Amino acid sequence: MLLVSCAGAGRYRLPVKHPPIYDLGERREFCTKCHGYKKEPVDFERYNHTPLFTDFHRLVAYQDQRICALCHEQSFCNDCHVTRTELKPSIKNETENYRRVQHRGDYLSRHRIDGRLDPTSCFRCHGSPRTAETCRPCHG
Amino acid sequence: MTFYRGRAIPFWVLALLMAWPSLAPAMELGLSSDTIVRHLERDERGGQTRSLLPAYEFLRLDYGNIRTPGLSLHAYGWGRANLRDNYATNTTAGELLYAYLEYLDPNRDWQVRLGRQYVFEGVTRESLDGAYVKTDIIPTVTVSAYAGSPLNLEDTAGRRGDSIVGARVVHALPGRYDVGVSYKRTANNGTADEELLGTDVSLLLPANMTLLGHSTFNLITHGFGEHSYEARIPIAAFELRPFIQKYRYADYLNGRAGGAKPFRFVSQLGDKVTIAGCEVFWYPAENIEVGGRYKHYEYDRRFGSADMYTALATVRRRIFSEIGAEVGRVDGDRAENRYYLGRAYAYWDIAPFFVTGDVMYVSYDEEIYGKGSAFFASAGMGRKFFDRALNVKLSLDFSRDPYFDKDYRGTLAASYQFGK
Repeated sequence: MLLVSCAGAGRYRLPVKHPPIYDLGERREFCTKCHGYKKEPVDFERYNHTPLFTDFHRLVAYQDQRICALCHEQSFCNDCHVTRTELKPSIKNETENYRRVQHRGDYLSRHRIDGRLDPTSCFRCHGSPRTAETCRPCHG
Repeated sequence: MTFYRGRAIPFWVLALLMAWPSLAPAMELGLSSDTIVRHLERDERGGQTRSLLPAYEFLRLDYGNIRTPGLSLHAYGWGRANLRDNYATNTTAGELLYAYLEYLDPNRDWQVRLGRQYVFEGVTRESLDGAYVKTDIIPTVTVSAYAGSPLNLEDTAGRRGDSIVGARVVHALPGRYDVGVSYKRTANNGTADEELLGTDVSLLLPANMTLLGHSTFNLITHGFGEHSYEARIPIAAFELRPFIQKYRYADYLNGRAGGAKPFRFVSQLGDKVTIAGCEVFWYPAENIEVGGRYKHYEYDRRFGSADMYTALATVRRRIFSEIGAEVGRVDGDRAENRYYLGRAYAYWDIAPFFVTGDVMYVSYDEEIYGKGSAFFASAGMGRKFFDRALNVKLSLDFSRDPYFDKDYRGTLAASYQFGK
C-alpha cells in the first residue's frame, strides 16, 4: 500500500508511439533535432542514429527497449535479432543502403578476419544453438 | 514449414481473441506485407551454374489499441517458396517470429505481454513463448520479469524441459542516472544452460556528457564475460565517444551444446580481449555528417594486437535522401588479418520515385582462395504509391569475391502497409 501510494501523479510516461517520421517534415532523424540535449524526462541524445548507431545501439536498447518501440515495431528488430530468418538484413532491405548493416557485399569473406579479431561481435547474434544455424553448414 | 512450436500459446491467444470484443472497444488494424522475389544466377568453381528463384512473404499484423493504451495483438512471420530451384532440396520454409497479446494500462504503469515474443533488455536477447510483465508503479523504479520456454534451445533435445526466467530492476533519477540489475536463466532439457547476472548504468554528467555501459557476470563459469562502457561528449559541432570493452572468452562465449564450433573452440582458449578506441562525429552543417572510429584490440594470450580505422561522410538532401562514402582499414597481427575497404552509396528520393546505388571494394593483404580483392555493386530503383503505403522496389546486384567468381542477383520487392 505504501509503495502504491508513493506513485505520485504527474510522473512522465512515454507515449505509446512517436509521430511517424514523415509527418515531422524533412528533418534529420536525430532525436536532438527536436528534443535538444535536455536530459529530462528522457536523455534522447543517447538514441541519435549516427552512421555507426547499429554497432553500439545495444548499449541503449538494453536499458529501455520502450524508447526503441516508440518508432520501431518488434518486426524491425527481428530483421536481425530473432531465432531464424533466411534473409540477412542487407538483402531483405536491399535498397535501404543508408542503414549501413554489417553484412553487405563480401562479408562472407571478411567475416573470417573480423571473427578472428573479435569473435564476440559474431557471438552476440549467432551464439545460441538456433541462431548458430547460419554458422553450422561450414563450421559444424 | 514450421509455425507454432509448442501448444499452450495458441490456446491462450484463441481464448483471449474470443473475449476480445468486450475487452477492447476501439480497434485499429495494421497490416504490413513484404513480398520479395529473388533471382540468383551463379557461376561457381568447376563450371557449375546455379539458378534459384525464391519468393518470400513477411507478414505483420497489429490489431487493437495500437496507438493508445489498451489491449492489442501483434504477430509477425515469414514464409518462402522456391519458384525455381536447382540449388537445394528444401523448397519451402517459414517461421512465426512473434504472436503476442499486449496490455498497456491507461496510466501506462503496467505492460503485460503473453505469447511468442522477443525480449531485449539487460542481459537478455531471447525469443520465448511465455509471459512478460513490466511496471513503473513505484516512483523511480522499473521492474520487469518474464518466464516461458525459449525457442533457441529447440534444436538441442527438443523443447521438453526447456525453460527461461529473468528479471530486471532499474532505479532511475531523471536527468541524473539510471542503474539496472538484470538476471537470466535458461535450462535445456531440465539442466542449466545459461545463467547470467548483469548491471547497466547511464550517468548524466554536466555539460551534456553521458557515461553508459554494462557488465555481465556468468554464474555458471563464475567470471565476468563482458564490460562495455562508453562516454558521450558533445563539444560544439563535434561529439566524442571514447569507449572500452573487455571480454573474457571462457565466460562470454558460452561453450554450451548446440553452439557453433568456433565459439566452443575459442571459449576453451582462455583468452581475453580488450577493445578500446573512440568515435568522433563532426556536423559542419545540418545536412553534413562526418565520422570516424578507431578501435584497438589487445589480447591477453594471443600474439599481436590489431587496429581498425573507419572514416565516413554523408551529405543529405532530405530525410532518407543522401549520398555517403566510407573508407576503412583493418590491421591485424598477421597479413591474413588485414584488409582495406572502400564504399560509396547513394539513396536519392525524387518522389514518388527513388534510385539507389552502392559500390564496395575490398582488398585483402593475403589472398583468400586465390583472390586478393572483392567487388560488389548494387543498383536499384523504386516507386511509392498511395501516399507511401505501397513501395515497389527493384535491385540488381553483382559481386565478385573469394567465394564466387561471378554472382548476379535480382530482387523485386513490394512493401505494403495498411493502416499506417
